[in-house]
Parts: sequence; structure tokens; C-alpha cells
Amino acid sequence: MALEEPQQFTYWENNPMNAKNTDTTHLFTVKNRTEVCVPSADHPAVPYFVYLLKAPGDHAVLWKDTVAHEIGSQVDLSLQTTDHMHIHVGVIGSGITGSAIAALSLISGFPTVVYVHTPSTLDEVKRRIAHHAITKIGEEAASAYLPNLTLTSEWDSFTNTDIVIESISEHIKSKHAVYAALEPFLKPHAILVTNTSSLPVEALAKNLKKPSRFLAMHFFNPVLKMPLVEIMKTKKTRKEAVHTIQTLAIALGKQPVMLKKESTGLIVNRLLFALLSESIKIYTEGIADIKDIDSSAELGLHHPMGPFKLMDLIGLDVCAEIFKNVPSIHGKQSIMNILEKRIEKNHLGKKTGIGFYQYNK
Amino acid sequence: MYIRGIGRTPFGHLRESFSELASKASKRALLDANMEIHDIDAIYVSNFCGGITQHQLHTNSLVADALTIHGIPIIRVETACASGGSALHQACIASHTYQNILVIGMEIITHDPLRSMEALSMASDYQKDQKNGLIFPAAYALIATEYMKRYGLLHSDLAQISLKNHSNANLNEFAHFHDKYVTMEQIEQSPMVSSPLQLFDCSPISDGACAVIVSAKKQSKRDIRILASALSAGNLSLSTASDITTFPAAKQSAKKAYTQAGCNPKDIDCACVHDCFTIAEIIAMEDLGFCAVGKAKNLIRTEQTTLGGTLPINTDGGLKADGHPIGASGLAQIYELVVQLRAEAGKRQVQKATLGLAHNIGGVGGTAAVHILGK
Repeated sequence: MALEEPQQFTYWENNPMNAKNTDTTHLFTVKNRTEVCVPSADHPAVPYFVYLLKAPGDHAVLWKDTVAHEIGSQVDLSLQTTDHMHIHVGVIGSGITGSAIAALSLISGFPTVVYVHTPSTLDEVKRRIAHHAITKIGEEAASAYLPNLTLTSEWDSFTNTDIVIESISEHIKSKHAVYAALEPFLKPHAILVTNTSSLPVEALAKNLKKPSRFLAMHFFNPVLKMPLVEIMKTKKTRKEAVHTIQTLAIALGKQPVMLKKESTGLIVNRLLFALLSESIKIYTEGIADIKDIDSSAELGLHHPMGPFKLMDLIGLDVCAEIFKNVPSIHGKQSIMNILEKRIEKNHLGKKTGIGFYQYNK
Repeated sequence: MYIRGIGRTPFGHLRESFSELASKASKRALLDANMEIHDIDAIYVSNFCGGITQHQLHTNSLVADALTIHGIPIIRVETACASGGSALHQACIASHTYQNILVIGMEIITHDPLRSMEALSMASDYQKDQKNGLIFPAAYALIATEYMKRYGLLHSDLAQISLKNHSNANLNEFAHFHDKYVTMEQIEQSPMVSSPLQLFDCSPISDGACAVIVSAKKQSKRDIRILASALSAGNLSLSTASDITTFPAAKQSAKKAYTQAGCNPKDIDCACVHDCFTIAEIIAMEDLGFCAVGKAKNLIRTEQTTLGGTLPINTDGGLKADGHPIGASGLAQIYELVVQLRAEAGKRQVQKATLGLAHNIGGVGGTAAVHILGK
């Protein structure tokens, strides 16, 4: 008996349609469907549909989707197979998040090209991506995927990509520059997603030649562990692009949430920054000490770490930048003061050894 | 082979532990058989979810402690929802070796519903079904959709089955829904679970226990003969069924049972079939040969399967209304048939019942146990 395939981050492990000798066409006919209205532990988001599909080779397959497909219609499951070799993913951004996204894409079976701004850092980036992959699935399994990684400082290496994920720093001008350089090389149907957490997507799409290809796909750190992905379309994003990105998220082993409208900060960061700003307010009102506010969240709300510990982890400078962009926080100078006072002294949190708390090296 | 004694607890939300449930049902069965625990020389235990919901496996040993009977062979049988019928099948085979075999089925699954749903889903294929969100209501919903499209069955037909089973349960003091009076309007307006199956198309999750005692020799006039015991394994995943509107394993077990008992489907006076969902009762009627394929709706519309009809089905309320404590359900079917054949069923008595059939299914036909009992 052959060794089992390494664990992959796809929804369709060991699905019979993924056997090596299936047809190259990935069109399946919907024979039957049911709309499930009750949640269960592994499928908490309802309603969803379960389909009984007939493959071209006449075997049947069960398939879950959140989207309604008519009986008799055909669905393209090309992104559903574990064999993703015909879908090419591009990643722009080789920092902590970008390299983790690249690693995730690789070990999910996608040939991945990564843009590296400074050619001299190419080896370091490659090492970083390999490290993520090896940590997640082990050296032997990772070695099967790493040959599918291409590192480049040339935009023309992106001509073959179907989906490009941009994950560079949160500055609108830098992102605009990247999109302007990239777009001429993209295939007509290629999709461009941004991992922005706080910039307005419509503004990011402003100068694109094809704004219908653009939407946000927001990952959470650590990318290889956190299961959530927020997907946010713009008014101009085409429907198929939204569906493809939703499917991509699932193929990467994530659970996507679909935003119905644009929201600066999407969902999670709005929730988070409401919590963080309120915690600073409580402190400035002299109501409680920092450690007691943290304990209140940890013990009273069952949060793994309180708001101040979390700000230390995120970095006070990063928090201050984001607070500036969040409309309801902007101008609340007393809140900003608390952060800026410490930022001036380079008390940025865990990364500098001191923030709201002190950290022993 | 004979059923000498039967005993059960009510089904529903119970507080007893596994030990207490096993003990209660077994003691009642022993009392019914006019026997002592030390007359028992082998025990088969039927339980499905204990590992997940009660952190309890090695249930055979738990039963040994609960009944204070050590040293005899006791073993647990698990075939998902067919565990009860399967355990009885094992007892029948073993009745050449042991004198008096106790078969005890029990389940505790109402205390933590989310955990229970997780446990229940393990009756399906993990890779092909569970990972694709195919919880059991969804599986039977797909079966229902296909059947309804092909044979013109309406949801009102399914609702009629539910109503019948609830009416029967009102006459069964042990039933989960004994005190619940249900109207057709309630059934039709109940919330959607997995289209087209609504709340009243789905059996509840219940706690409970049921025990029967099997002996090779007849000892009293109340002993009921086991004329047939058949077991067949089928497909685990719905996706590999060539026709989802029938369970081949059920047909195979039925055929074996009719041959063993030397009878035909039309000889059966009453039947307890596996109505985990209303559509399952339709499929059962056809798999058991009670009607031609696609014609079950006629039996329903002419009320042949009600208490007053030509072939009463699920006279105790079935899984739908008597309840579905998985490990005990298959044995509760035997309990009801014995009561009917002994003419002790009171207000729900099937007149002149001489042959009864029990049909117990695991998953979507992954296991099928069929028994035929006679006076």
C-alpha cells in the first residue's frame, strides 16, 4: 500500500474526483441539492447547500457550497481539486505576512510566483517561505512543493498568474504604484486581491484599468494558523471574481466570511479597534489600572489576552497608524496621546521590550 | 430461538447514567422473563455515541459492573443506528452456545446536543460526506428530493407519516412524545431543517435503554419465536450509491429473513421500520417488499399503515415519536413486536397479529438488520 499523500490545506482531501486518472474537464452536473438550515460543529455557518454532483466519468460526488446552483446546471470545480497545478498564484509582499501567504499557497498545491522588491534579498525571502512551509507540513512534504516557487524582481513573471495577492505595507501610494506596475502584465481575467486591513478598497482600485478584477482578501496573523479570511468586494467587482476568491480561500484551508458592502477595517478590525480604543478611554477616565482592564477582558469576556497586552503584541506604532484611519477614532486626541507618549520613547510593545508592559528579553 | 423477556425505560431527556439505564432496562427484562441475573450466561451491549458523549467506551465492562455479573462473556456491538438489531443478530448466532443471552441497548445523547450531532455524523463517510457538510438530515433530504421527483411523492405524504407515528406514540407510555399532541398544521408549518425535510420529518435525539433476553429453548407461553435474523452491510457514503432511493443492504437482509422464516412480505401483520426521517419509512416499505417501487405513497394515502390499516407500521410511534436513543432503538422495535404478538398492546393492539418484522438501519444503508418474530 502506497504512503498517504501529505496533509494538504484543501477542502477536498482524498476526494475521488482528485484521483490521478480523472478527466481533465472539471465540469460537474448538479443532480440534486439540499439547503441545510441547522448548524453543526464542523459546519457552523448556515444556511449552506450540499450538492450531489455527477462527474463526466459518471461517478457521484458530494459538494458543499454557500452559493445556490440550479439542478441541471454545471459547476466548475477546477479550484476544488487538490491538483491545482493549472491555477497560478502571484504574491506581492515578502515580509512576515507575504511570505506566509506564499507558503500557504504553495502547500495548497498552487504554483506561486513572489515579487521581491530588492533582488539582493531574494535568498532570504526564499528561506523565509521555505521555513513557513517546513514548519507547517514537515521537510519531506514541503520539498515536493518548493520547486513550484518562483521568486522574481521582474513584473513580467506575473503574465501567467490567475490570481495575485498583494500584501505590502499599508500605504495607499505604495499600493497604487505596485498596481500600476503590475496591471499591464496581467491576463484579462486575472484577479487582483489586496490584504489591506484598513485602507478603503474603492480608493485602492481608483487607478486600475480593470477595477472589476479587484477586491479585498484579508488574512490574519499567523497566516498558517488563523482560519478566518474576510472577503470584501467593491461595487465594481465582478461576481465571478468574488466567487473564485471565496473558493480560493477554501482551497487554502480557510473559512471565508463574505462582506456585503465595503467597510473600512472590514469586520474584525472594526470590532478590535472599538475594543482597543474603548479600553484606552477607560484607562484615561481613571477607572482602572491597565492590568485590571486586561484581566476584565480575559476573565470576564474569555479573551485569550486583554486589550493592552494585545496592543503590545500588535505594536503601539501600528495601532496608532490604524487608529488614524478609523473614522470614529480619528481626532480622539486623549486616546492618541496615550499611544504617542509611549511611541516617542520607543516603547512600541513586545518588539522593543516595553510598551504598556515590560518584557524580559 | 425465543425472546423470553423484554424491558425498557421511557425514551426522552433522562437523568440516569449509563449504569442506571442498563440496570433499569435489564431488570425489567429479567422480571418479565421471570429470571435472575445469574441465569444470564452472555450479554451483547449496543451503544453508538458513548465514546463521544459520555467519554465511555469498554461499555461491556460497564454493564458487567452495573448488573453485578462478572466472568461471563460480554461484548459491545456497534453498527451506528443498527447497533440494536446487530447486537440481537449476534445473540441469535450465539444462542447455540449460550442458554440465556441478554441484549441491552442504551444511549445518552440529549445532554450536549452539539457533541451528540458530532457523534451521530460519524455514521457517514468522513472524507466524502462529513467534510462536505452532509449531516444526516441533509443526506436523507437528498434521498427525499430524488424520490419525490421520481415518484411524485408530496411533502404532505411525509407529513402524514409523521402524524401517524405521533398518534401511535400517544398510546405508548414509554414514548419520548407520549404527552405531545401534534396536528397536521403544526407539522406543515414547522421550521426547515434541510430542504425539503422539516422539523417533524426528523426523529429526535433521545436518551434511553431497552433490553431483550434470547433463549434457545421456549420456557413459557409468553415467549415469542425469532423466525429470522439477517444482517447485511452496505455503502457508507451516499455518493457511492447507484440509486439513492433504495438501500440494497435492506433488500438483501429482507430477502434473507423472508427465506429463513419461510414467509412473504404480505404475511407480515405489523412492522417496526427505521424511520430516522419520514422518507426512510417510505424507502423501508419498498425495500421490504410491502409495495412496488414508487407505490409507497398509495399505502400512505389510503391509510394502510395506521393502526386500523392492513399493515400497521411503527405502532409504538417509531423512531420519530417513540424516540431514537440510537443503541436502544433497534431493540425497542423488538420490544414493540413482542408486546403486539403477546396481545398485550392495549389501545394500540394490532388485531390478530401473528407475524412481525423489525427493520433497523445504520447510516444511509451502511448496515441493515431485519428480524421476523412470530407467535
